Amino acid sequence: MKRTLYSGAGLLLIALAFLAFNMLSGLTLTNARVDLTEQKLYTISDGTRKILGEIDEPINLYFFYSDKSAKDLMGLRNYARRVEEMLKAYERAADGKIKLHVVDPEPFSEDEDKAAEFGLQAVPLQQGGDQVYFGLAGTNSVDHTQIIPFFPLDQEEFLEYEISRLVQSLAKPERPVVGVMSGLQLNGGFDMATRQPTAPWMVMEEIRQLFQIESLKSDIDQILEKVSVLLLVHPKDLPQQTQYAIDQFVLRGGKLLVFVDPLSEADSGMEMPGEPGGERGSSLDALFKAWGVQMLPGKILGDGANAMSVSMGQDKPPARHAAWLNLPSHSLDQSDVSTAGLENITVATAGILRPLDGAKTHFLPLIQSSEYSMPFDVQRFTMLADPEELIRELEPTGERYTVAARISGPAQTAFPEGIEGQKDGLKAADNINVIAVADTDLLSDRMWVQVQDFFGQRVPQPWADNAGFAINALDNLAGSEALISVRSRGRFSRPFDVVEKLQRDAEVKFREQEQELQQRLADTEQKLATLQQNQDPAKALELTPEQQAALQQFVQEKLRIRKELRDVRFQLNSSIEDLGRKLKFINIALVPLVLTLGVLVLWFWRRRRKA
Amino acid sequence: MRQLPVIFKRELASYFATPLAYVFIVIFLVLSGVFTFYLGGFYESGQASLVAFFNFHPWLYLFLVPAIAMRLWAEERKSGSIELLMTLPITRFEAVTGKFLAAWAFAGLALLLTFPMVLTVNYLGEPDNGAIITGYIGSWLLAGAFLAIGSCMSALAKNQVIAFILAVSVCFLFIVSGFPLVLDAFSGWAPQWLLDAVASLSFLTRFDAISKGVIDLRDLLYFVTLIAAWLAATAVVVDLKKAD
Repeated sequence: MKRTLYSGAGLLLIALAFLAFNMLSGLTLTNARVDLTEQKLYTISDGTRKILGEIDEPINLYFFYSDKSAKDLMGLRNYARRVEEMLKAYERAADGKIKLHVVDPEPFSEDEDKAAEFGLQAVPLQQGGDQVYFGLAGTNSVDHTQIIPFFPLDQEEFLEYEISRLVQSLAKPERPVVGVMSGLQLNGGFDMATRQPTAPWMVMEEIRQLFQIESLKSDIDQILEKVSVLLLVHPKDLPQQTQYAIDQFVLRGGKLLVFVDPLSEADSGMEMPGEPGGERGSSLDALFKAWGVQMLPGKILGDGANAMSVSMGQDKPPARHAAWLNLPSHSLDQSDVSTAGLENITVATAGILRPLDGAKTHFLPLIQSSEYSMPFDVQRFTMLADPEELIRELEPTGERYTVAARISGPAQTAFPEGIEGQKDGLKAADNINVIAVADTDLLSDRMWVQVQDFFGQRVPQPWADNAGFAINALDNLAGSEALISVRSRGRFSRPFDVVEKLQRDAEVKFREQEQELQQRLADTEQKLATLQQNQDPAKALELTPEQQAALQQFVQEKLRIRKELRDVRFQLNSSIEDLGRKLKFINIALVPLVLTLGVLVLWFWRRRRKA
Repeated sequence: MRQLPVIFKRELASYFATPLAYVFIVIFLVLSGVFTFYLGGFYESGQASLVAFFNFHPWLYLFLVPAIAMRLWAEERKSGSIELLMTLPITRFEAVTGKFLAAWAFAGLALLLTFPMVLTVNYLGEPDNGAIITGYIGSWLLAGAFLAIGSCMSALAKNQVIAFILAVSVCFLFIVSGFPLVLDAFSGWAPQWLLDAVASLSFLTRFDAISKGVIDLRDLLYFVTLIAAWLAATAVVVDLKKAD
């Protein structure tokens, strides 16, 4: 009895010691972790440390999280703990410049009012359940406020970026200045055809709401110090001093968002007097070369998979235009802040960007075409009557082409000798920040938005994310270099490269066969048409025996071709499924089989030894 | 302490003296493969990560690990060899730890034999191998935790089947302690800190964090202290029951 009692006490003591130890360690050892992920996904990055090091005035962060209301939601609780620990890591790293307040805004409490006052969103997570707050508000010494209304659970990869951005906008609250230099009439102009003034482009209206705009003439020789981002649209034959000014601006750390175009449909070609109206392309060749990038000269991107349907006028069916593209989310880099989360971006006769061989800069594609793409010559578009022709001419190369890219890293000046009168400028930079887009039309209203006049107010109804992309890119570039580097951390998607290659190969094969079969179909049709032409008009409705035979043949041929196409499509995924089957076998059965074999061999050996 | 390797070797050898080891390993490998590919949709997901593989480990272990652990003490007691064991010049600590370590090493061996999965995912794409290593560490720690519980239950019951059922039940409670199933029992009356303490006992939350690629000292200490606590409990129970 005594023994049992002692043992019982012993067990109780063990349990209590275990619980007490773990509760204590849970409270105290909050910063002892080794992050073994390749990209250190769970560690504060150097960029953030730099931002925190530059805070002058103290910042208060209020982390609103409805701890009690979310008690049954383990997924949310786990993420909330992660956010809280991230914020605590900020507080520690900021060396007293950040004060973190963790608030549980209970229903009908003062804290809840405060959360609502900040503009945080309460989200009802269960039917009839309490509303849950899970957001962040920050204030600085002059009472500027910034918020993250709600931390979406599926955007964990941008957590650090979002918090760092919030901290930075509190540390440096003045609105960033965007310099705008454009060869298109972004701010509205005059339409020669209708003799009417035109409204400013909607994208400019949206940019104006977030940034301070500084219009720049396209012949300036210096870009003002206060400009932090330069928005350069459709640069056409820029004078040398302007190119030099842009070169120097980028080298001294200025950020550039540039839109060039091999064929700008928005360019009426009439703005510059004395210039031939047909030339509607733009480029920034010399500077691009210095940054290790190139827009393929005279080439326009065609993409069969993402071709848009365009209206061909009344009474005509819409046609698919292989150079007017509606690029869906999987064409957009989901791990880059400027394109992640966007649904679609539309472009019209876009160009193709490519890194130059031996370039030192890093070229990160942001927007890419599908594998069913090929470059067309720009001349092809001057006399294009029917866009369907393009689709027919399309011979996919299997390559994905880049429409927009982020260019960063070390770069040299494009003017090693300087220019007349300015010889001693910057020669190189350790890191430049450029986002280049090979299309200008995506900015024009007709590519992304319907504007409705509502009692004299223009109300935009966007149907593509073109403006979202431009604003994200500007917003990202307007942040400090440190903030931009926070972005470049995670590559969260790790696709099966092998399977993707198989898929590409199979699809190219399918297209080839499909084309061949389509060609045969067309030939058959052609033959039938020839037969019909020879017909005597008097016997228009009667078919000669030859015609009948040809018709029969045509129908049969068509059926056969259809079947072949079906078979080809069926086989499309067979190599992928084959690989899957092999891998399943290897992982499920191979080791057990080898083991069984080993055991059998061992058994026989033992038996023989015994015998 | 000097006798620990002796116990360890004797125990480990005993696994391979019977087909038990072979059967266990084969079942574990087949099931983990089937779960990963068919239930987890590993191949269809198109992502080079072993999340689908590790996700099923807690549930696989729930039934397989108690099966290894059930014989640890129950058999010794049933066959009476426990009395012989206790008369040998070894301490209870050595006996308990030696047996546990042998079983844990054996579980580790089974885990290592899943290596084709690592090769597969590296062939298909570029996985984060750091996260895969921590996944294996986490999985092994998890197996250790299950084994320690199973060891104690085996010491408690003379009958192996009962030891198995007890171990499965207790392990299940530790798995689900982060779920509403358990939390609901507390949420009406218990203060939030207690609720969080209960939730923090969950194997799943701890394992999840480790298999993501972050080894937090707290998670590591949790598994280590959990194993130590259950082994200490085993020692107490063995001492209490050795005469039964």
